[in-house]
Amino acid sequence: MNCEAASTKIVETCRRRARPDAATRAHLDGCPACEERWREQEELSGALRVVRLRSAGERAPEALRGTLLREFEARKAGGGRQGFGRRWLWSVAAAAIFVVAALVIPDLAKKPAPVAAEVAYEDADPREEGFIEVPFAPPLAEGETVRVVHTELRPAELASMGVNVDPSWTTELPADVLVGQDGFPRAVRVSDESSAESSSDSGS
Amino acid sequence: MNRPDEELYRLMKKGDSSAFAELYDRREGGLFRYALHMTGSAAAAEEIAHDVFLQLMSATCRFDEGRGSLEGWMFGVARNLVRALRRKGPVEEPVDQACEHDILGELIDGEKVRALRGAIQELPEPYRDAVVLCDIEERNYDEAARLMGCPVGTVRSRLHRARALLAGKLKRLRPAGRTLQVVVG
Repeated sequence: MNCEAASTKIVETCRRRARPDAATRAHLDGCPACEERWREQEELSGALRVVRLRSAGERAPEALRGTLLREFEARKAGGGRQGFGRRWLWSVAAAAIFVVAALVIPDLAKKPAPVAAEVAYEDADPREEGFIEVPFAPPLAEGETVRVVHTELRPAELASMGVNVDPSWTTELPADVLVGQDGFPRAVRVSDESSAESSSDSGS
Repeated sequence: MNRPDEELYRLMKKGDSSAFAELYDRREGGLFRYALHMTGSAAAAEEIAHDVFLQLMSATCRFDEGRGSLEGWMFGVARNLVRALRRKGPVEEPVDQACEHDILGELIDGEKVRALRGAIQELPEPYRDAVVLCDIEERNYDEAARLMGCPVGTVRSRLHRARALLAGKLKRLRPAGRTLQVVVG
């Protein structure tokens, strides 16, 4: 058993508050780092258990139940004006708002929506394709795939993701973001360098 | 035998207040505790539980039985409300104020529990979600995946990362050479 396999075993065994099986025990005996991990996870399980026990009986105040039941009755008595029926009115209102928004905000329809493509980077190194690792991003789990999300990012957003931003960049730039299955960005690249340069040129 | 949530929902939409009350009694506790652990505030948790049920009785309620369970939908609404609340800034009331006079709790290493609750609050939301549902509310991976709207493998990997982060935070709080012991009868 290697440390990676042991790590998974440690968490799941501690969560069950069980003893390690023979294979895991043998690994722990020979691996001080995993032995330490075991102690930490065991301690964490105990503390989480206390949190769980202390909050087990927590409920919203009884008054909330009465408030909501009165609200329910009021809506019912109101002939469904607030709560039941007349959905068509909301549909008409929503459609009207959309039309007004489309007219008032001309860029609304122009801005491309982010497009995602499923890509597994098992063999390729994203850095070789111009991606920059996002600082402090959690590492990918074994077998976890990433998506390339094509989007547009403001210079400040690019800077926060570790891209060296030219101060003269003023507009949003097309960018590719590698996003893990947990939704966290792992790497980013400005997908169209010429845009960046022209943006840079126009700003200077 | 308990009627399914979805049946109660259909009845309450027809104006059956006893169905609404049954649904409330069944789901309020879990929603309240979820919001409590996600925000760290009893007041915020109460507000969130209130708003979830208001949305449920609203004419614009978008729950669709074909797309998932009612419980999953309710947790989804609660999650969005938690997110919106936290975007406004830190929640003012720390959760332990509510437990300030919990003598038993203070005896059971209250300091560490407080630290752990604080550490949970600092976790990124997807990790916090996993810890709250799996390790505090004791949902199994399948249930948590249904409530979080993601694959079981993702729940597991988020939980493992969350636990690694929490263990690291607790370790930093521990004085050198001391092992904190939690003893619960």
